[in-house]
Amino acid sequence: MTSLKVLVAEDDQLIREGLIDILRQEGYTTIEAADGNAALVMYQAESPNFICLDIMMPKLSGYDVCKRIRQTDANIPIIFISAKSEEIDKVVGLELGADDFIVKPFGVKEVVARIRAVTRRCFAQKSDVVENTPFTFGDWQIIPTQLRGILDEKQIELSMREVGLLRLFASREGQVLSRNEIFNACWEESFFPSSRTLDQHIVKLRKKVEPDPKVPSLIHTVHGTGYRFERMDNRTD
Amino acid sequence: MKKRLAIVLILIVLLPLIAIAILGIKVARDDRQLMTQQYRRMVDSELAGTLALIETALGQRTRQFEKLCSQRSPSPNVLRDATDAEPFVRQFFIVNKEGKLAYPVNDNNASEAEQAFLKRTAHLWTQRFPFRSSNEKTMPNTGSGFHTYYWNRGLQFVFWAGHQSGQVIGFEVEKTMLLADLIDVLPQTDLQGISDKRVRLTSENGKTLYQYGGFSPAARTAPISEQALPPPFGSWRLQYFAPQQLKSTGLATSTISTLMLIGILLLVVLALGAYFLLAYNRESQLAMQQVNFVNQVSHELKTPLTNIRMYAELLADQLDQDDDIQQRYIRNVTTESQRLSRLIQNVLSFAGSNRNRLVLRPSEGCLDDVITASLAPFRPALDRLSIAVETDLNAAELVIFDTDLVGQVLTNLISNVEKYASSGQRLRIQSNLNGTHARIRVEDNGPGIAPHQRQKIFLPFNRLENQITEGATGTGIGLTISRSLARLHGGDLCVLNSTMGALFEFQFSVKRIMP
Repeated sequence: MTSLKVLVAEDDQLIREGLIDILRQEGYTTIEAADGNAALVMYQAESPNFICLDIMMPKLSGYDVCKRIRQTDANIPIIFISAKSEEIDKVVGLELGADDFIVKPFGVKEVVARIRAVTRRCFAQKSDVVENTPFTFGDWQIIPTQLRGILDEKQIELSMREVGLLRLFASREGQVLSRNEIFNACWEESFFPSSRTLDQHIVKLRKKVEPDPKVPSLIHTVHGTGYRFERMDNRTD
Repeated sequence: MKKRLAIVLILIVLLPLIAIAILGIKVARDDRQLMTQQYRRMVDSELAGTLALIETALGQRTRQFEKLCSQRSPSPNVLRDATDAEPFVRQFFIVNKEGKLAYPVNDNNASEAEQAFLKRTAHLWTQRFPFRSSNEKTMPNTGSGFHTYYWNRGLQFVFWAGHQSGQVIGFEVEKTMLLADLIDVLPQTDLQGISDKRVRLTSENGKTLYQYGGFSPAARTAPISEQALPPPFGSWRLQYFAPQQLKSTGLATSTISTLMLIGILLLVVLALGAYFLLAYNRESQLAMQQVNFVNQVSHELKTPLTNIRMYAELLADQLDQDDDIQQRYIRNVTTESQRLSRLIQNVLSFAGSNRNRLVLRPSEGCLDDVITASLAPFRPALDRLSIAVETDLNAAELVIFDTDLVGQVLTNLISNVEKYASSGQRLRIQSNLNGTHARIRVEDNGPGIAPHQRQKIFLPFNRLENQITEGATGTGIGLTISRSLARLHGGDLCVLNSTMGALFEFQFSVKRIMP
């Protein structure tokens, strides 16, 4: 699946780092800027897929950055992130061409939900890319462009990382995948997670796709090596 | 300061001032009229006193004149001699019983004086009984009186009296002597004296015969008062002049004092108004500064709060999911940061509502989803307090409304159950959608709200002071903001009667999505 590159422009270092962590966990590639001018430079140099833009930034405000970007690119999704919650601020932001507006203090789930919504819009424009075509994982129908999995009446929300993991498992059904294989396939080189991170992703994924996450019947742990996708009925490893 | 309030304040100050000014002017005018009348009466009274003296003197002189006539023998020789002897007599005369002049007559014996008299009085003798009145048929042989006539551009006086012989004896009065009589009665001329008045005795043709008083009126000045002398001087006048300021001396004092009083009153009212305006402006400014300060602080709190909340949630993912203590601790940090977020949002909404800056932002949404999402952050706390959550949600249809606003109201209501009604161990949320009318009811089994306190709880900073709120924290603006938001959304937030606990009903209008 095509990884999306996100520019995070935020002057507060902690918030910037936190947003980057959230985005990386979701499976995005990130680039960052601490002021408005740097954001414009990064935008021109790196051509991100979408932008998270703080409003009150040094040198150049988020509004100005948005205006300048919109002069050359009318389609790139921009999410404003700001402490300015008053209606007028939201209206100004949205009229300038922002796609969404996240107000501080925000929760991780809110950010994730809004980023996924923007991602769906991005993929809607790239639905013809082979990597984005739907596939099956067990009985689940996975639709990458919607970041969703469907099983009968049940519907689950997935992150890009989770879609990537499921695609890897689905393509290698019955085979044991080592941790390194999984890392190489689903994580970018610059951000190599610990084994623990992978385990936590698998735990979350099991909660979403397994009928009983405590007794996995789809994603099985292969101790000392990695994981294996195989359809079994309540079999424990 | 609001313009409308400033106008009201100006009117409050100006209207009484205008009323006082009109009243003052009216009082001053009435006062002036009264004083003028009093002054006129005083002048008239003074002149009347003078005229009374003249009348008395004239009466005495009349009696003396009667004696002069009655005690004389109606003989030309006697009267000729007496004419020279009596200073008041210019020329005696006799009118016989037939009403004709019997003495002097124009013959060879007539003296120059008698001839001159006849010439002066010729017009009198062309008729019979010239002194009788029109209703008398015969010549009066009793009584007496003055008769006046004009000669040589001047008033002349004749005195007559009936004689026992049936004739009338009379004489032409020496006018100068008569005038001297009058002047004798009047005060000393004293033209250099106190210049408060000037009284003039004027003749029939307006010439000054005598005057007294130190004031010199300008030419053609009209007198303040003018009165005619008693007969036979009826065409003579006594005129009273006084300086202008003297005329208004009495009333000026009164008017000036009234105007000064009004002026002082105006100044006091203006000073009070100015003081009130300044004080109000100062307080408004202070209140605005406080609101701005709270607003600013709330904004500044957002960045660190974002970090606390975001990193707590990120950490929750990293911690061992099976370690209850770790999960409990991180859950507490998350829950409290969420509570702080709500508080800040309420403070900002309150500041916004005070500045009329709350605006609806409708979007497409599902009411039941908003209820579920609003409940979610409270679940851990509600579980900890053993509050059972019951939902009866019947508004799953997609409609257009302000999801953030509805969420904020719901959050405040659920937060109140958590804080004040945990003893009831029950929270029930019911939703209904009927056309464009949405209704959410939030009910608990807690201590409830007494009927007399059901309006009070919606007033700002008015937390109920009883055992319900004891030990619970709160700003006292949650329900105020919630009601404002509900009304902004075309609805209301009310407390309904309930057999147990508190029952809040939140109604608002939504828009249907056009197919």
